[in-house]
Amino acid sequence: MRTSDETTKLVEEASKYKYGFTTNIEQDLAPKGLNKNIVRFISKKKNEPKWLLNWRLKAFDTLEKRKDNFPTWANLKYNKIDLQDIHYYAAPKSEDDKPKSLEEVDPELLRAYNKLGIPLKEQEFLAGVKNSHKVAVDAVFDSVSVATTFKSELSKLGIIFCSFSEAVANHPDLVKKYLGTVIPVNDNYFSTLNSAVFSDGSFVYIPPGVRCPMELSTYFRINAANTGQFERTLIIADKNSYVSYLEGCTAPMRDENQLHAAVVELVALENAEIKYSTVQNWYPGDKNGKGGIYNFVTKRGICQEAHSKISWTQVETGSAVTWKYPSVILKGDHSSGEFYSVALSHNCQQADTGTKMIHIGKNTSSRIVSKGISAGRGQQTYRGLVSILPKADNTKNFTQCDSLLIGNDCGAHTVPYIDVRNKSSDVAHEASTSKISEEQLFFCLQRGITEEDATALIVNGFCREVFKSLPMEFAVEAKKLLELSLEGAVG
Amino acid sequence: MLLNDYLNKLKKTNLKELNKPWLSNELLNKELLDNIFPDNNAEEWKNFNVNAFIKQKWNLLISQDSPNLKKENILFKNLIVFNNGVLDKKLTEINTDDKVKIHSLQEYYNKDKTIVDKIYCNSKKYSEDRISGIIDNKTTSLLSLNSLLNQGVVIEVAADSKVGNEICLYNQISANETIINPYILLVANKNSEVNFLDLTSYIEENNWTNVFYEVYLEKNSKVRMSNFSLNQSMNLNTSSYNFHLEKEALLEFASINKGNSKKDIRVFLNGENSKVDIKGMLLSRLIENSDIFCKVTHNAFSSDSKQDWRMISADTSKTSLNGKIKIMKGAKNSSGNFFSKALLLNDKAKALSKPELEIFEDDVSCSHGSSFGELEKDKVFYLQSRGFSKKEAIEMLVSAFISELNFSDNNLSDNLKNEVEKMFIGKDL
Amino acid sequence: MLKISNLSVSVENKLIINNLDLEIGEGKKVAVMGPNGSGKSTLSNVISGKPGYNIKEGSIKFEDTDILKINPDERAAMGIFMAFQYPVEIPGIANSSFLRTAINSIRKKNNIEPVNTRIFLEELNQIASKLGLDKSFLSRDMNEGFSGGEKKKNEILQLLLLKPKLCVLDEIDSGLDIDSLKVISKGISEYSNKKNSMLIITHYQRLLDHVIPDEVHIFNKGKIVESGDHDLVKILEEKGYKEFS
Repeated sequence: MRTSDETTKLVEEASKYKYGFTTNIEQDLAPKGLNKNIVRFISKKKNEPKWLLNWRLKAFDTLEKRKDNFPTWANLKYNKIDLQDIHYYAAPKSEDDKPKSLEEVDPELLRAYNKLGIPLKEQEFLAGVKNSHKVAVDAVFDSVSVATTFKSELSKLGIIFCSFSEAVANHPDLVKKYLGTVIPVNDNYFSTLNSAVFSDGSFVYIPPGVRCPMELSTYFRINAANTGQFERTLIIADKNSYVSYLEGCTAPMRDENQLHAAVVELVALENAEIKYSTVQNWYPGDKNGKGGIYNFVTKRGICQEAHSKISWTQVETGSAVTWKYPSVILKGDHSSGEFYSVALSHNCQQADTGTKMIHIGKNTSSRIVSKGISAGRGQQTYRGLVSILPKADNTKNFTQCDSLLIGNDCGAHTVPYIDVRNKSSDVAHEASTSKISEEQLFFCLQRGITEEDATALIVNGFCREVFKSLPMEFAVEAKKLLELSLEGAVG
Repeated sequence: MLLNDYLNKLKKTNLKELNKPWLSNELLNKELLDNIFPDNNAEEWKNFNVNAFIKQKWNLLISQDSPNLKKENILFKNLIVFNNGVLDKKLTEINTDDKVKIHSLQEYYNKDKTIVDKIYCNSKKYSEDRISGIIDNKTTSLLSLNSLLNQGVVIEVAADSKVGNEICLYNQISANETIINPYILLVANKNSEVNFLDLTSYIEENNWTNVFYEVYLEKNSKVRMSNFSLNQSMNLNTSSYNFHLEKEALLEFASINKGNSKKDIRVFLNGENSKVDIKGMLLSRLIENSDIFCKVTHNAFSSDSKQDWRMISADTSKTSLNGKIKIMKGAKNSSGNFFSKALLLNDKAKALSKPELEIFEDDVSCSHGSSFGELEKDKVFYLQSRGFSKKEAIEMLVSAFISELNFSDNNLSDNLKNEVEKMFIGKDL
Repeated sequence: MLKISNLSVSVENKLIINNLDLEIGEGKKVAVMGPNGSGKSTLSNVISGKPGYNIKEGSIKFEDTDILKINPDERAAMGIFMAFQYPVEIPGIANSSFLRTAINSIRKKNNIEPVNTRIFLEELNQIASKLGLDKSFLSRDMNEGFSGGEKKKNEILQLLLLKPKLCVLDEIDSGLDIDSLKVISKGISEYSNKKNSMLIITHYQRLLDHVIPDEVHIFNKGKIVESGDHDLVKILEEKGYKEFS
């Protein structure tokens, strides 16, 4: 993603947080607070059918009945968020008469995306690569999906890539069939909350035998103040299909903490493959821990049928608090799950992230590679579960989680749970923690590389196994983000 | 008297007046008086629930006689005998030229408070400080209970002395449906060197042993301790082994854990260059639940820890291992290693492992590894092709699996061999 | 080019270099030979600025600038290159991207535009093939899993690419088979010219049979105990270091 000159200028202005600008757009804002009427309001705004409204209301009832609240078991310390002090719906004003095409999109909005370096207009990502590397983008601004590109090209193949609301209107059967099947409404506090108040998100359906010819991509951005973002994404890969999906996120700098509680569900049918990559760059708060996004996200995929594959890759550099465990339920025989993660906590950032691999089917396999970097006063926790159920014969899991500490005010924690109930399984776990060695640093310095660059270089090397599994342009972005996030970590 | 009646009566008592060093802490008293015992909501106790069996009928210990022990059967030059957790002076025999002394806890405390105060100055270290910030004190109730129900024995090894022959701590359990609370404080003074064999022999069934050991290693002392039990299977065991190491101290701890038991091991490396080496075996069969929590806290510069564990579960049993390495800020140049390997012998058996790292210092090296697996089919086949039956082949490979631990104490190796053989009796593999 | 005056260096209160004076003129190849533990490696580390050494007194001037207070990366940008006795492994970073970062860092410090990627790769391939290194060598992770000979060749490859003014070669010949030694010596000899200087630190004479030094100093206990020309190498070979203690 090349950033425009304008962005470069903004980088200088915002100096530390490159995406920290707000966009001046007329907002259509729901009143603050969480109650049944708000749930009805959201549903009405989106012209939802009755079944969905009922589904939301049921979720709201569940939420009311839940005894728990924000999780206390995670290695996270944060101010309680008052759910009544949040706007649950914020849409650009133009939502009432939704743009028919990109030309009709509020130019201010387009400018905002340009600032983010998002190629909303159809354009090539890498110079000189013609027609070979396209990315279809669905952009979610605060709570509302504003534009989806490449729609016609995709629909020729039978691929559905649209906003969640559109899917509800145009493909209700698919949504009804799969919504909440991977992550039940009552799975956890945030999935319940999201189910009641989710605003929009992306929907993808890849028909049998189709290999999606381009990366599908969603950009999330929180813009309005005191707004929670509760998007909902559902991806279904039918038999023998393939899709690679990218998710990027940014938010402006604000003093108060903003809540982001998304739910992402993936369903892979027989022999299908879903690759889901995230570069998470929500505003992390300032150096002293003021402001920043609270990122409480539930992501889970199910390998529903035999030989299916789900792969999560995440680069988590943003947010004040990250609570996120993209997981795979390996139900189909011979299915496989992967989780590749780079998470960085600098200054006062805290991340408690990892994965769950639940092996149900026979001959299933999973691989976990987690690289945690702590700098400043950052706290970093890898939390994972590998569960081998009794009928999962001949399963394999390999887990590697490495931590790198920069400075001695930070902390690194590794909490892997391994639960094996089948004797024929082969599970291996390795972990290490280290620092950048003085020898490595001096070697780089002697070759003329500055200490900051050398640190970034070594950290990039540490993360390479994960970056390798990202689509190319995302890997480049991830590297840059990491460097940006590490600024001031040395010396 | 029954345990529950005792606990109810306790609420009317001022625990401080009992003058037990452990119970001087308000926090701990509260947990005990509120009857908060560890259950499966406590992270480290997930697989073991004291609340589920504390309401059962447990007698408090009355009789201290032990007519059953035939001393001539025990071949140790240095033998310290405990009957149901109470020191038996008649049967105890130590030939160490005064290098080893035995005191009651009260006597020892009156003589010199230094070490006892040091150990109990911060009772928080016995509770678990969750990384979420929640402090879990539940476990300490068991320790408080132990402290109330036992007078406590201190075994002290004189400074600058080397005890040549192994000292056997022989615990004989001969009560019935009784809660038994052995408490031993071992003090290895400066530059001393000593080997202990900690052996518990269960003669009767349906007892609950609630053990509390404190081992204090002074500067430059060396302690080797091996631990196992005989005929434990029809008894319940909860135990807490705590080691405190000063500068240059060296600890080797080896243990075999089996039956329905829950053992917490905590090692505090408080002195520079202190070093611990832990080797452990977890065995479970039938419907047993064998659970270990082992935590090493590095508080000092250049401290070193190593843990090596093997787990075998048979039948419908469960083994759990929660290993933790915690490196505190300032413990630069430290190294912590953890390794575990698990083997399931039956499709209904389970193994759980949670190897945690908590690091607050960047200049350290830590690693942990865990693996779970089945015996390699190729190897079984190879041995079969050489004429061994399948069962023989499997037994041979299992014995190879356990021999990797390489216990330095023969008593331990022999016991392990016997226990593993038991797992195969009457099995059709 | 390099002038070391009255230099004393200690590590953990142990004096390693003791009142050393040494001058390396432009275009000169100077060999410093000494037994193990004589302080040779300390000398190269101090010239390149490795932390952990306590400079008791004296100065090191590079092109008339006192460099003792200058950071190692800035010294590198000035044109000082040290070939490490034990090159460091950096997992996850491809050799070529490491080299590009290095060359661009140095260029940036000297206010030169970043190198054109195509030109860079062409030059890199050229140097690699000169040293008998396969193309895949450049895409492998930095020194990771390299043999001893490959690591040393990689040091020379970097030297030829970064084109320093002063080359400090710290035991570049240790652990090399005879063929690799020839390749490396050839690389060094070809690079050497009237504009640059070499400080060759070695224990053995064998490298000096291929790269003929202008001056030879015998180093022991942190001091130069004998100086001469190339003939000194032969005398040393016959008599051994004991004669010069």
